[in-house]
Amino acid sequence: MERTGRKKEPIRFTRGMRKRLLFVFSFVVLGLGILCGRLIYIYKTQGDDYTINVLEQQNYTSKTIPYRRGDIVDRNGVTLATSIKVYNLILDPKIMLSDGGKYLQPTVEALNECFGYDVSEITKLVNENSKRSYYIYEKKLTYEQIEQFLAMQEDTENNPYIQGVWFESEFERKYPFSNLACNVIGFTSAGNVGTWGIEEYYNSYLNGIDGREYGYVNNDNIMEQVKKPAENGNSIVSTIDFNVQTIVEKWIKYYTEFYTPENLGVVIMDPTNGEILAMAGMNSYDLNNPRDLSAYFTEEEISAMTDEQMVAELNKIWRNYCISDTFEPGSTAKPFTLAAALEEASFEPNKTFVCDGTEEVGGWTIGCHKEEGHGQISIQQSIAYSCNDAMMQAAVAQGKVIFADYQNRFNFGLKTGIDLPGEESCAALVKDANMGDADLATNSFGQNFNVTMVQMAAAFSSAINGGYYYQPHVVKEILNENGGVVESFDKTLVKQVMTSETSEILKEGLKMCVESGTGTSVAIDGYTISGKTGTAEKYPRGTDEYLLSFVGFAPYDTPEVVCYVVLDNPVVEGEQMTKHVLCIWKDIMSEVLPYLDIYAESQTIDGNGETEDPDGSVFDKDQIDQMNQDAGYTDVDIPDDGDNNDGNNDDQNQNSNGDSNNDNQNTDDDSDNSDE
Amino acid sequence: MSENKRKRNKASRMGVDYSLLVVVGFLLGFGLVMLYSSSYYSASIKFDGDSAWYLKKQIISTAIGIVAMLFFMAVDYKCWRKYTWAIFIAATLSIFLVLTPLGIEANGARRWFSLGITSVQPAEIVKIAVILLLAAILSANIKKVNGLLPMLFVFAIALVPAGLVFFVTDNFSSAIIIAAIGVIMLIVACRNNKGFIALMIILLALAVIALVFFGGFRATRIMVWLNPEQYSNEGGFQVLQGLYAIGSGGLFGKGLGQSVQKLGFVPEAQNDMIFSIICEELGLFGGIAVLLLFAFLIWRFMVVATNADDLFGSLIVVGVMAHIAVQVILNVAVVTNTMPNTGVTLPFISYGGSSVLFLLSEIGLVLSVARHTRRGREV
Repeated sequence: MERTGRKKEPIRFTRGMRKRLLFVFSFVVLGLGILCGRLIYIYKTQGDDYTINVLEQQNYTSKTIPYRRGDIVDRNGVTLATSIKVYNLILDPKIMLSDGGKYLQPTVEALNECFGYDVSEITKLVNENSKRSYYIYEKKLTYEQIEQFLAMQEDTENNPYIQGVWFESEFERKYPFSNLACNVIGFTSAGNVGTWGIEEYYNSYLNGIDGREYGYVNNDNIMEQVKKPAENGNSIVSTIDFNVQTIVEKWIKYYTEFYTPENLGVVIMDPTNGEILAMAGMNSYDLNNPRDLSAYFTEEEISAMTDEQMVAELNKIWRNYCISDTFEPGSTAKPFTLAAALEEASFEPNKTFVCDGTEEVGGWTIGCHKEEGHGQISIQQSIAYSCNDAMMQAAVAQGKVIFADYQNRFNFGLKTGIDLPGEESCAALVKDANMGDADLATNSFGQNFNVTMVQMAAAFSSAINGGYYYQPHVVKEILNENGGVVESFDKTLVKQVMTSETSEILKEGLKMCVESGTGTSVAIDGYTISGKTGTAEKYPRGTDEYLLSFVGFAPYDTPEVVCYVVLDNPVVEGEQMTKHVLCIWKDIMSEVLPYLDIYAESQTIDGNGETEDPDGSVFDKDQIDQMNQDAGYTDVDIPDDGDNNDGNNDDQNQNSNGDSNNDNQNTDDDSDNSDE
Repeated sequence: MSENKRKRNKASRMGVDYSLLVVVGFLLGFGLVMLYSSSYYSASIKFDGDSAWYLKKQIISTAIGIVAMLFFMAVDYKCWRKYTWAIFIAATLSIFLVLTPLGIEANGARRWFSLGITSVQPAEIVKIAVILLLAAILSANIKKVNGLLPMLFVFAIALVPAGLVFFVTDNFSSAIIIAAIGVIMLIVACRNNKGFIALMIILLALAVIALVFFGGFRATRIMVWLNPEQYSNEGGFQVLQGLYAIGSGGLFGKGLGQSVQKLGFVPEAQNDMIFSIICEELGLFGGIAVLLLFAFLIWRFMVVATNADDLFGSLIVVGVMAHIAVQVILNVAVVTNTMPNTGVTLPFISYGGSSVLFLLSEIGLVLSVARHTRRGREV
């Protein structure tokens, strides 16, 4: 041994010790190396076998307990989407053939008796797969279908040898009303992935967590069974009203056949809180079978499609017209122009305009739809008669900065934040403060900028409810499995867009529009209907193609429902005119208003036959209650109703109701003028 | 000699051995992640939804362990020399605490005693005590222990607590580890090749005798080892499920948290079998990476031992190195069914409060040795 260190130094690690330590270290490294080799060996030689074993025992001693995806119900609890338990029939050939195969014959016979499966076919299948423990023979059986077999299997006294068949449950998404509200609800793709609509937007709430049932061998080598139950998903209560939606879709279907328009959309919402009661476009599809294009194409056409074409066509029917498609709104935008002028350009409520039929703007001559001009008119009349000249004056008075600010304030060019996927903001299609003079002029009456239906409906609601902009939404509440409220989406006040005084002036104009202006044919007997017509010339100009619309509300004093109808380029004889859309609005709201417990304000309700086609049987009972209440506020509203005569001739026939008295003023065709 | 001197000069500037500290820190962090991954499912079932039950307990033990490590690192290891016998006797006597009312019985064996906030496994105390005592005896008598008889005498000192651990707490694997620590320390310290062979033979013989005559040894244990599929009811199930986990992990594993085998198939996946879950989730790659980390750790020990200030320090580090190396190799060998099943935990990673506490104390000792290595020594 080396002598290390001097006298005072303690003895240190010698060279010999280092050698021996190195030897031990090498030994350890060798050991670790061998173990690495062993890992690689296991991976190389047994990796596949062990992977299979792991998967096999998954099915064997452990199984997933699927969670149930939550329901989607309408505001009154009508189920719009639900998950139904279905069963997969699993064969276990290994067990059937065990113990000398004494189970095979009785089991196969029982399967034949209960399900009508071919005996020889199953016997052959079992023998071919004798090593397997898991063979899915049939999927998606209902409980009724398997009930008989389960009873036989349990009756071990009479059938002791039925072995090797079991059922695995899973859930299938079902939509009881197929096409109804398809664009709002959306559907699910494989594995509970929500696609479009509420199904997509609230996917994480609807889905739960899988449970698991498994067995393991404990220290005493006893098989223990452990079950961890699944956590089911939450249910969604939509703001959609099943009945209102049904009425809307009924009339959309009717008028789609009648007009064959490019599209026809309807949004009905509650202006007091932004809840959407109904929302539908023209293209609908069966939620239970969302990839079926047969309603739109023949079989040859479908089979001729490439995958890309197919996807494009499917996306066309899946997209929600009311939130994803944009268009120039036309005259329905006029109240917003006036609101800005009243708020910011110190317009007095009694201000008047002089409409001479044309307006010079930046070298262009832009005319009013009434060539000789409306003469001297009030603010309210400018809405009622849809005067372009007055709007251009109001826009100039406020200037570009304020106008652009108010576009922004009414959320044009911004997403409303509705709780649905695929909302369009059309920010690129709304002008900012750097707009040209002609832009300002044409924007003032709703041309040259785009909106979505939901933007317009939400903005209009704020204009008539005293100026409160509520976020439109389609979901009211999220409930847990036991019905407890997990989350509640009350009204969300986004901003106040105008004062209540301004709102009142606009309302007066909107009422006048239906009483004596461009929208008279929308009047429903006994109701004070108010609203605004819109006739937007489509781009490219000059083709005589229009997007017709009407947005209206009722009752007058406390608006409870706003309905916005858009009819895009209908095929009609002669000119396209607002009367074509007004009849749709009237047909829908004639049914919706009584259903929503909004009854005619005058006593004439008994006599005018308006109730001849009530939708629900509940109507009568509630009607009586309402009659009693009516006594309270008849004094306020009767004078208004007296003026509402024009509406009477409209009853007979929706299609030819736009006769002479409308034609003069009704066609607020901004069209001729809005060139740029 | 001059080359040798330069090397020592360079290595002696270690101060705090950060690379050692980083590896240990990484192993601890990684261990906690894997512990949670492998135990959350069984914890949530066993403890009524508290999926972090094991994790929380382990975090507390780890925190205490880190405090202990810093303490042992701060104190000059040389001061323990005086107390090695006292520590040894106390540790040996603590084994008997499991027989008192303080003792805790779990999984059919009394191996723990309670210390209020945490339970302690005396076998772990004994390991550290044996390391300290043998280091003290060997460094003080380095010239006298080269003969066979003195070697056997020193070895016998280690065998006393090993035997007690075996007979009193019925813990065969800990006894083997304690004896193996003794053997390795002797091999490194003594210049007697015949003696080593004799020691190895004695160790093997004792192991066999202990198993055959006292450990309720069954031939089936070997049979299970050789053919786990056929003897799955005799204990092959656990071995086999561990192998399934390793085999099904593939090259890069199923992903962290994605193990299927921990869902009840590999029993107590957070304990001895945690390496199989690592392999399942992180694959062959992850498994080998862990082994490489341990290899690096052991290499660091060798460097510290070689450069230590005195023989006492060197031998402490050798003992710690022996402890960790033996435990890693035994654990992974069992998990991969390279040897018959015994219960050995994977250092720093497996669940176990006293294990991590005393392992960190040992690391603290090693860091102290590294820290008190003087610069620029002459040889």
